[in-house]
Amino acid sequence: MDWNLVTPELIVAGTGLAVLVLDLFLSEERRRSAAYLSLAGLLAALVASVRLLAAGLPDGSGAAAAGPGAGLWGGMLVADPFALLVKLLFLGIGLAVIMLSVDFVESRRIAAGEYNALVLFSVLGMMIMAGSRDLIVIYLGLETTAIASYVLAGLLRGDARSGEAALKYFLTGALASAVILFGMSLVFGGTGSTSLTALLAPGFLGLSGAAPVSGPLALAGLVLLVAGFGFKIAAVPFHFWAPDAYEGAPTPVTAFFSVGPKAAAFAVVLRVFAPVLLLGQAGGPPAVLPVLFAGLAVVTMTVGNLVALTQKNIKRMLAYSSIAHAGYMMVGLAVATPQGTAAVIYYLLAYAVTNLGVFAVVIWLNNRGTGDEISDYTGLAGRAPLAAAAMLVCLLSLIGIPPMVGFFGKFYLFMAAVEAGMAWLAVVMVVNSAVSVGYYYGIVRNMYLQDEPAGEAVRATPMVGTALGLTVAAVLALGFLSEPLSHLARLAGGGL
Amino acid sequence: MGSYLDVLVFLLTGVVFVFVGLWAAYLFRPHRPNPHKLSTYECGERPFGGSWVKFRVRYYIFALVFVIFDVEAVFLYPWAVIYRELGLFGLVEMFVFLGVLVIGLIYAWKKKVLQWV
Amino acid sequence: MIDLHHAIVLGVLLFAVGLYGALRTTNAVRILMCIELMLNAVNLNFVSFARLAAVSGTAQAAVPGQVFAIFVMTVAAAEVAVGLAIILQIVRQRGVVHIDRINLLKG
Repeated sequence: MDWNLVTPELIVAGTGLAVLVLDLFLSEERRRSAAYLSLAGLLAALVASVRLLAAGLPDGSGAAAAGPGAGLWGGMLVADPFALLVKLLFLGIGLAVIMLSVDFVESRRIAAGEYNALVLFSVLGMMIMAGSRDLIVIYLGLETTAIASYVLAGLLRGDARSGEAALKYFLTGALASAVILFGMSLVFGGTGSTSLTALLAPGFLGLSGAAPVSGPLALAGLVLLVAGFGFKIAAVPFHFWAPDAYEGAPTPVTAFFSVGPKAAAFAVVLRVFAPVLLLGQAGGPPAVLPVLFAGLAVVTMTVGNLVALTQKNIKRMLAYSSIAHAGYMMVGLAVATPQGTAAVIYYLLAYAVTNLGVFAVVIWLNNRGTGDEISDYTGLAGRAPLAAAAMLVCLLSLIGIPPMVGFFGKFYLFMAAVEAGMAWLAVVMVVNSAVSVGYYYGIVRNMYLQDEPAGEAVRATPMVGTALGLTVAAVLALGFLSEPLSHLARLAGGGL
Repeated sequence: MGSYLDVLVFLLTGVVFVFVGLWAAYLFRPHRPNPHKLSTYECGERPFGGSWVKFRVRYYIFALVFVIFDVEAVFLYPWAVIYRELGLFGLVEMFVFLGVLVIGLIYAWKKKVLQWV
Repeated sequence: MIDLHHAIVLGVLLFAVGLYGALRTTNAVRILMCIELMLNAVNLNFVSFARLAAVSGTAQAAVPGQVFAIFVMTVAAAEVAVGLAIILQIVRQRGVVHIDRINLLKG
């Protein structure tokens, strides 16, 4: 038992509980300290994760945190490079979301203690999901994230749309959890173990293997898991809840939903399916899985992009845009190669920082009374040149224009598809990116090319400004650092 | 199938026993109804209102809090069965678990969920 | 004689009934009940698979199945508590529990 490996989780859990208790004893005007305490806790966990990652990398000091079976509770929870890299992302998301929400929470009279504690618990669940190698732990992480998220969606008590978003998110989320659980029970029945490694036994999933019943049983379970996680990442036949939940939820929470729980679900999908898919490449193929992912990828990105073209509300448009991006990421799973896995990890990072940047601008303007309709962004370049420029950088990254990070994300996915001999999938992806220019450009046109009687300038608050600066810097920097970062992604993907 | 025949016989006997009992009581008991006797029995209290009243919302919150604490207690049972083998580590773990639950209780307390107004 | 396969068939049927109900009804509370039915099917599956493993000689597989069932029960209780609280909030705001009439968000 090496408790060092879970210090980030312990810090986040402790901070969450501390925030919850502290808030009970604080006077009304000192409520901001809940946010500051949360930020401090997340930063401490970030530092702890970086130290673990540095120690676990091959060129680091060599503590073999990444070795097989290294972890807690007999390998149920591991701290391999993949887990740590994704945890860094999650902690970064947590930091950005809390920074973005401080003013919003204050102005909308959301209970600050509950809000911050719930974000922390949700991040904790995501971190547990990242490090889990066991069905039980995956389920616990999933539900920790999900239950906290349901409440977050409904925190605007006076707003009927917030409650409706929470209800829809809850009902679909609970249904998805039940489907995932049923899949897990079948996998457990097939393998006789809750450990993910049991799926990788030689010849187990091959339909002609030694076990005539258990292999297909586990495979059926895996297909159900694809459907259940399809709900969580809002892949297309299971996406109907996402636009409503995104539109109705408080805007910082929408920012969180569009990157946090989605990235965590992708982390679990990688954890469960990447080794199985690679196995299919090597020996007897569970050929249904790559086909399933390819189909989901094509449908998801196409429907997401086409419906996004018709949206008037920016949160709703971003919801469909995030559905489309989930479709791109599934290309990396459909190709079933190590390159594909690494490309998905890189794309997760790229998409998360970029989308947070877009939402930072939306929240900035929202705090200053600008509405959520795309037409409200008319003439923004005159009123808030900085916000417009930041929005432009992030939108270019979402489209996939070099040198932004989004370009490299799509580039690696494209290359992985071509190398795996699935060039048609790469072509579908490029066509979809071209379609996406349509709706992203609509915002750019409104901001820069349409004149509006000059309103008064809108300035950012320090917190939102800092968060926006950091994310935009990350969008640019991660693009320039794409080489070492993709190396890290390959390394992380290799250890799955 | 033999074991199911037993179940069937048992079931039939049970049903018949109840009806025979009720029928016998109906035959022998005196019939002297009065309003007090016909009213709903509520542990000796005088009943008031209909049974389809609206409960206060607070009542549901109360019930929810009860359900949570009630169900979480299920973790105590497996722990109690083997706590000798788990030793000190298990004891500390369980106190950490209970500590988290206590934080939940403090939260509910301070939010005045536990007050019955 | 009833053997474990019947339990598993029952699990699948229960799950199907729950899923059908959850997709079919519009009453939010009833959807929640159907989801609980699905979770019960899952628990039944876990416990019977654990028993199956124990009978067929891999005794160490029995424990995770039962542990999983306990976790499912407790987490489901937490989930239901949150879900009912959300439904309560909606009922207080609008006085309806039917999801086809909770439709401010669309497009």
